[in-house]
Amino acid sequence: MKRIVAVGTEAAVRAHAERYRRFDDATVRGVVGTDIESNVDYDRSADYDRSVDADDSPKRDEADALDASTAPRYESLPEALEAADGTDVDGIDVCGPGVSHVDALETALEAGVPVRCDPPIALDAEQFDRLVSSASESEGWLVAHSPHRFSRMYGRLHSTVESGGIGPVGVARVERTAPFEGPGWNVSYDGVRAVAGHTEALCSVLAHDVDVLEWTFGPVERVFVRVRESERCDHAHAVLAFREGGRATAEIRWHRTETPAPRVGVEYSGKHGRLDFDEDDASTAFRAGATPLAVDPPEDDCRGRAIRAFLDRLGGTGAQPTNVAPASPSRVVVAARRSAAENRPVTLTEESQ
Amino acid sequence: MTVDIGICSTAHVNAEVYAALLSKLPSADLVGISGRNTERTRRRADAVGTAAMSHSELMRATDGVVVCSPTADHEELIDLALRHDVAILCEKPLETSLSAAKSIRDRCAERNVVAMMAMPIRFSRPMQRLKERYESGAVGDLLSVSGVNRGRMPGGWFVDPELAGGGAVADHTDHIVDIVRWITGEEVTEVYAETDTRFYDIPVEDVNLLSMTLSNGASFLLDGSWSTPQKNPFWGDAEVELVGSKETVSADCFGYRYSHVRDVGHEPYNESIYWGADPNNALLRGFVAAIRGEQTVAASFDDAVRTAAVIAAAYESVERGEPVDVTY
Repeated sequence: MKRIVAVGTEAAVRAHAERYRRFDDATVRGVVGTDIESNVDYDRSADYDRSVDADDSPKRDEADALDASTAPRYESLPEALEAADGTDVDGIDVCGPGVSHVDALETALEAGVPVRCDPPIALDAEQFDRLVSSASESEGWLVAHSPHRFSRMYGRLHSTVESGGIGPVGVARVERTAPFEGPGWNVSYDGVRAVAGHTEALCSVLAHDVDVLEWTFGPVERVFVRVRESERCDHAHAVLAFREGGRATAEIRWHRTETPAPRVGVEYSGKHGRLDFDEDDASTAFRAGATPLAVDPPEDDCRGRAIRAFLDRLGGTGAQPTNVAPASPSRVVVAARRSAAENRPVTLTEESQ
Repeated sequence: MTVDIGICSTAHVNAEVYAALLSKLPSADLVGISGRNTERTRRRADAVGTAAMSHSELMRATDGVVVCSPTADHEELIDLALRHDVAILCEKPLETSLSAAKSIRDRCAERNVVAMMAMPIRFSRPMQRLKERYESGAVGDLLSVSGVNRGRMPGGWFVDPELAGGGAVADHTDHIVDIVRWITGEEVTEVYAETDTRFYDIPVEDVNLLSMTLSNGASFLLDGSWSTPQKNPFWGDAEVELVGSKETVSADCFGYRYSHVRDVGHEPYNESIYWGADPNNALLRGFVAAIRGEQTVAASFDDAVRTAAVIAAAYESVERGEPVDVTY
């Protein structure tokens, strides 16, 4: 039985705790939740595609309540580890945008406990270098894959590209739109924006797309970003160049007022064809009137599958990284933030290695 | 009373489209098609029941010409038209270099002839509605613009850098930059370009990604790549989204489409067919009306110079690997 401490915003922690509960080989040893009074439904507001990760089980509220009441609650990760006497925790799950939890990541790595975290692990070069260094010196390790990698949609896109289905990539395109205050995939980034700023929040979203793009097309070599902020909404676009050729654009926009429905559009164009996906394709596949209904069973949601992969690594059945895996998406985000600030393309070799 | 119109050169893919439309336009007489390739010119002329002739013969016979040659030949044909005091509707871009485009613009201004660019998207009804909505103030302060104008790789002289002035950047930057300028009244002030040749084995770029800044500070992302697969059921797209302080609005020039799946023969076949009002037809009617003095040209050669400046800045950005200011 793997003993997990979940750290993050309250809604994220509850959602993750409930997912751990699905597995027979895991238990939530403790939770460190911030924003205790939040009543945001993480399943509707998490930082991933609603369409590929939907789970509207009617038992969800009951399950959340159960986990929230049964898992010991702590004020901080050091307190949770101390309560566990340092020997009673197998893994730490940093839920939600990892950038808001640098302290938790450092604490986990210093304690030598393996940790799972949503990318990016850091937004600035100094923090990033420190975390990579901590991870390499730690007995633990850090996995920071985007849950997108574990979704059926991205998995299908990835395998089609890998099998030569569209030939070498020419242009990949990602568009994301969401309301700021939910329901949507980016509510948890509201906190990032409040603490760090709109550029940081938008770059945090970008990390997920970079992770999936690098997984599919190889390392990003160069990034150029423009970011805009307004009372109504924030916007960023990124132009990426892959080391092995091909280019990509990612556009991210979220709104405070006149909010649109959450929307994700993905298109991969290659020498021998094109793949494209729009969230509407999935969200309308099963619906009652105009209301989309979930299709996938809980065990198929991408975040649940990401957690399963983490548990497998803890159990030794999955490969264990020596330090941070993958580090590159966070490195790209550090470069993206710099590009936005300095209005120039940033080549990844300029960033820390 | 009709206006005599000719099509000058059959090299451009739109020459055939314009010929078919002009042959049915009540306000115009398609008096001829000219070209260096005698056989191809004859075939095109026969197809629409008009005469094949030399460029000089055509200039003497018409009130206005539609210049459909390779871009590098525009200047020579426009000068010929100027010598005959003939109105000009020119395919984009105006020339292969910014300096040549400026020179043409200035010569046409001196002669005071009708000189218009083939920017049919200005005649697209969704785009016209978008402009109306923007001008009404509904969008508010512009925050960002996003546009796509992807298409199939056209081949032929379009992939000859000498004749076309480049690849996808030269071919697919004009329309959306022009329409955004037209709608918003803002100019592109800075361009960062990422290009590549990934889809075809050609000597020019087929990837065209431009990150721009407008004069009001709004960001502007444009994908003008030749990334539409040759077997795609529709040739490409032309879309614009405006994000403002009050609302976000978008327009899809070719959003009106239906599908045709044909189940005969041995080859699978399906096609998306545009059923909306034809912007090319409106473009030609606008040209005829301008010759008659009934309206001003929709897109002037000065507009063409401004998009040519963006294209030049994009290529300079690729060369320098950084954002560059647009010099008009």
